[in-house]
Formats: sequence, structure tokens, C-alpha cells
Amino acid sequence: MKSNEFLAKLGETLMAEGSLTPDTQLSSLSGWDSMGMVAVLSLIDESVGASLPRGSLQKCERVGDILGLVKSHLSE
Amino acid sequence: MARRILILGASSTLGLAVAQVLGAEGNQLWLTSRDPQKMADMSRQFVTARVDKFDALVPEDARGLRTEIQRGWGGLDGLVCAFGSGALKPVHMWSDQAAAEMMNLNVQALVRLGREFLPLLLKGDQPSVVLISSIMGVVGAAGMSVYGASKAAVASLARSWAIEWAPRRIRVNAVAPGMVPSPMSDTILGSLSPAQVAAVQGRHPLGFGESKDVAYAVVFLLGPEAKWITGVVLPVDGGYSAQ
Repeated sequence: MKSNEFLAKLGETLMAEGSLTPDTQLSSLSGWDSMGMVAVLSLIDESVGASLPRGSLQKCERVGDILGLVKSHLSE
Repeated sequence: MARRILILGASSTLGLAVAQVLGAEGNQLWLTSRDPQKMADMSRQFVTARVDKFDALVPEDARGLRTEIQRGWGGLDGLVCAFGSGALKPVHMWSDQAAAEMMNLNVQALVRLGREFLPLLLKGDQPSVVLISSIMGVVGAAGMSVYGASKAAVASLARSWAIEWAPRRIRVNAVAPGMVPSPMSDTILGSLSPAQVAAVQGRHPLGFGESKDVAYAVVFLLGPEAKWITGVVLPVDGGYSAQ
């Protein structure tokens, strides 16, 4: 999957009102809460086939941190 | 007295536990799975049982199994439907297709089986059916809406079949388990942080259960000791729903 496609899906998952960039602060998104993290794990599993370790999103602060976790599965 | 009992989804964690308890009591077992490796494992573990391949999503499998049981046993004294799938996913993440697939397996397949196996139950001795619902079909929880809806439907099937089949002396009940460690619960808990898992466990006053805890309830509802119980959805949940 291309990075921009993943970003678009991530935006839908976290109910972002505008486009996401790597610098977008996750705390500014209404969908970023404990259930949002579950949703993102589900997205990652379904869209790029990656199974991240439990709690791996806890330390993410920006969208770029999430991209970093799945970068090996994304193309430009 | 040995009873003739069919367990669909017998290789699931719960199905296997039910088979172990029923087998230890000397019942005749007919076990199914859709996984050839698990079928081989069950054949080794339950040497006197009949083990067949069966996929609940394939209508021809239900008809074929019914024909085989008609030929082999002539009727059914007990039926346990222990197959199903689960997922923890917020509602805005469910595609139409994924939701339909879960409802097809957890609900629609049961409707088909009720239709197909009724003739065999009519020929059974004190026939009894036990379905597997979930405490998520009773209470709400974030991320469990589609799974919970499917399990609420299972509870509804049990109640209505109980009334519909009572004149034919067929009992139908369901159990509503709380969280029991299994591959399915791993799927659900695996997406939670350790703190979230601890919170889920904390909602079970007696902690998480074991598959045998649920199996004993299933076996009780199947057996003649429960002959005046039908249409019940029994929570087996360590106190989860008591709060």
C-alpha cells in the first residue's frame, strides 16, 4: 500500500476533519483514544497485513510515529 | 446412559472442552471441524468418536452431515453448536462485507442448522440443543457491537426455538460466557494494551474463566438433569453481568 493511501485510511479511522500529515499531533484528533488505538491496530492488520505488538501505539504522539511502525509495509 | 451428541465446531477451545467432559461421561460423540489438522488431532484424542469435516458456511456440508448422521445414528439426543468468530472493532471500522460475514457464521449458519437437524432431533431421546451466545450479547462494550449483535441474535434463536420446539419435547438453551482464554479471546485481547486487558479482567469479579467452566454448564443444560429448563440464556461469566 502507498503511504498516501494509508494516510487517507488512517484519517478515516481517526475521524480526522482534514488531511493528515506526518506532523499531525494525534492528540488533536477526536478519534485518538483507547478505542481509536484498537481501530488503528485493526486498520494496520487489514490494510498492510502487519500485526503490531500489544500496546505498541501507546508511545505514538504524531501521525509520523504510526507511519514509522509500518514503513516497511508501505511504498511511496 | 450414553447419549448421541453432535458437537459442531468441536475443535474450538470451548467445543473441545465440551467434548472432553461428554467423552469422559461415556457419551457417543460426533465431532466436526473445518481444519484437517485439528480433525486428525481429535481422532487421536477421541478414539471412539466419529470425526467429520464440516464448514458451517457451506450449506451442502449441513445437508451431507445430516444424511450421514441419519445413516449412522438415526437421530440426535444432543446438539452443541460451538463454532463462531469474534472481533474487537469500533463500528466505523466495519465494512458491510465483514459485518455480513460475521452474521453469516454466527447467526445465519445456525438458522440453516436448526432447519437441517430438526428431523434428527425429533428422533432423539430427550433431545437438547445448546447454543453458544456471549455476555457481549447481553451487555454493551466498546468495539463489540457487531459481535455482540450476533450473539444477542443467538440468544434470541435459543429462546424462540425453545418455544417453537417445546411441543416436540426438544429443549433449547444457550450459555453466555464471559472472557475465557482462547484463540478468539487472544484476537480480542491482543489489540488491547496491558492496562486495558487488566481493566477487562477487572470487570469479571471472579477473573477470567476457563473453558471447562463453560463446558460444565453446557453439559448440564444438555443432560436429563435439566429436563425442565428450556429457553434459558445462562451467564457463565465470573459475575460480569451481575454488576
